[in-house]
Amino acid sequence: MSDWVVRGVRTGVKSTPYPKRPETAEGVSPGLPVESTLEDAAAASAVADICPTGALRAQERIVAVDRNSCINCYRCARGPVTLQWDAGYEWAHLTDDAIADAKRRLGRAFGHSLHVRVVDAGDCSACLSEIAQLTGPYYSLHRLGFFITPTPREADALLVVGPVTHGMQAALLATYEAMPSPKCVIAVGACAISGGIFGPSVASEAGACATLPVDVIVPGCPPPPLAVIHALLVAAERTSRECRR
Amino acid sequence: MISESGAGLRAALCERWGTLASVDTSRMAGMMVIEPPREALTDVARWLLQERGFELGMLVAEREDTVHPALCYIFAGTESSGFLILLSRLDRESRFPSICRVVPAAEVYEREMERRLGIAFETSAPGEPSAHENGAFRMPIGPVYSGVAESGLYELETCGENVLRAEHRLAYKYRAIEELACGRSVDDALLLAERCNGRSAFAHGWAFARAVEAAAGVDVPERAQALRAFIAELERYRSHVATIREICESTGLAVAASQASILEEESLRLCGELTGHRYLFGVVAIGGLTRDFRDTACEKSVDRLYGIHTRLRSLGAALRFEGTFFDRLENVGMISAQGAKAFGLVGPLARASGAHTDLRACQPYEYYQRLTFSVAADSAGDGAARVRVLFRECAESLRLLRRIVTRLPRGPVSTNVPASGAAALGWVEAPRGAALHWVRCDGDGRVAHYQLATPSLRNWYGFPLAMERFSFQDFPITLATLGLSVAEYDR
Repeated sequence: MSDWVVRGVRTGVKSTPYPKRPETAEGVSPGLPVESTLEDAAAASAVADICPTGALRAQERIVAVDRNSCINCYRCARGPVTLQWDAGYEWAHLTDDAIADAKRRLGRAFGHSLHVRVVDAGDCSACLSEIAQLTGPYYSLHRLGFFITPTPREADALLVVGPVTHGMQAALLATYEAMPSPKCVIAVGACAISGGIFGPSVASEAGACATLPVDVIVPGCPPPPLAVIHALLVAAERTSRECRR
Repeated sequence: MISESGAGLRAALCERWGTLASVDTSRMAGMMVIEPPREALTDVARWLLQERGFELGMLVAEREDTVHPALCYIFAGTESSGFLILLSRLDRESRFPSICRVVPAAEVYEREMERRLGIAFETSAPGEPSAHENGAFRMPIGPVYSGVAESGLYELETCGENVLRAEHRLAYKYRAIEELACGRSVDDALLLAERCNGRSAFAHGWAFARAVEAAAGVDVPERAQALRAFIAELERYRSHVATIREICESTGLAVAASQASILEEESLRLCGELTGHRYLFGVVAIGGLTRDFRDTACEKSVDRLYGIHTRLRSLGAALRFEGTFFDRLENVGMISAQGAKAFGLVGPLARASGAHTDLRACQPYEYYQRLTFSVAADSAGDGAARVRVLFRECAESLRLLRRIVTRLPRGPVSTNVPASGAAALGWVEAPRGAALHWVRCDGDGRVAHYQLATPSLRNWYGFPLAMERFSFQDFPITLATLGLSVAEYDR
């Protein structure tokens, strides 16, 4: 019999200070590019051309970034012309539909207890791995009143990862139908938002947004655990720091 | 195992099966290619496996090759004999002999060829129908099931508490990576290869890059080779810690799971700090790496990993004396050495069943040619053996990292890779086992044909082997110890 209790106590508190204070540790976020102004228009259009998903758009010297499409290939960070990158993680925001229709949002009633069902709709396992970190000591999701639940019957929010493959579409819809109203759908990662690098294709849809009424989206490939926490805070309307698109 | 040169092998083959047709191999870079008569295919395969110590790597349908549309059976041999391709011309009328009876590992590829490419194989005799015990029924689990888990359907044949056997029904997550890659530039296809499994993204990206480089006949600079091995070992360490965390979680040992989770998150942060990405996306490039790393940054990473490893060792020691942990793993989920060999299992899963299979040692590539290390092995074949192998490989990875970092060569980290019209195999020992990527490029630097054999594609054969006559509560534990990835199977 091992002294697990002593072992646990000795480890001390590891939880991130977020959301009370920003997390300052290194390596918690893969970063995302931000709108940058380059030296000349030629450089701007050159850097926009190397983006594999068309997330960059050049207008004169300015390169606009569609963060939802970024798949973290770092071509615009390590190429001959580079953009500025944001090393933060507060990336989640409500979708236009959710902003327009306040009734379909969960609202503050769920602020203290939000149960989440996670559905893998064809992810590469990086997003899923980041979500698995949430319940670990570093992110300790429970301290914030968020819980990952095994059954959709008691879930308030649905976290979707992956581009929604044809094989998973019916299962994803069935999970959504099984959830009681009001319910909220959160698309996690570039694949779930728009299909990312995979879809739409012969095998997958263009993300969860094409299948379900998505309320909150969080970009990144994969979004780090802190960004997923931010998405849950946005869904429960517990933060005023919503990312502007 | 007998090791011999390619010429000797060809002579031995000719002696048994007469003169073999000469094959124009200029479009398949760096491979020994033999075309036996079709009726002798099964015999040659048997001879290679049983007498020469070869193992089946993968099956490739080269239909895009206008000169030689053919089916390629790629076998991995011993260190000196390397890889060998048995080639069999594709013509529309005839069926191919199924080599499943000799090489059960071939089944997954043959079935896939039938389904996806419409290539017909002579069907072997159907297996014995499974005997149903009285009152046994099939209980489906999935594709969406408890907690944070990958989607897959499991059918448990049970008559209550005891489960007779279990089968997996995957392909819910099929993303068609191989089809999507065709027609894209090699740089864009590399992004797809990385995302075939996010948890071993670097290994898959590396294997893809190696295939493209081999097709063009380019060697990457020394520093890139060393750094690639460095990052790959970092990834192996991180992936193994994640598997250990999953096993602890499955046994319901909360403190141990939390401790392993701390170590996993710290190694993720370490990867993030060193390379910019926690899962090592966007690090490997065709021809080397996308960026250089400072020697001091690599040294710092190894030092920090030492700190992580000290705690992992202490966790391992505590688990060893924890009855509630090892009692649930010992003699659970047994995979016999014969089963592992017949179905060509790879990686830590096979090494826990007594197989000495590790591409880093059997087919050393790039910087591994200069590194010596011991291949972790265990012969028990149960869940406990797999845990022991994982812990041992973590220690070995750390030793390799230290070795690489003390002698990092100077120089550039990438080189230009010209477009070529050849095909080649890229192989890398990913954290879960052998990853083989077959890539044919066209003259414009685009992918013309792409097939990949991931470790989990093979290792899912271990699932029905391990899931026989167990009690219900052992299901998640055995599944966790197998360390399988659905994403790798459902490319």
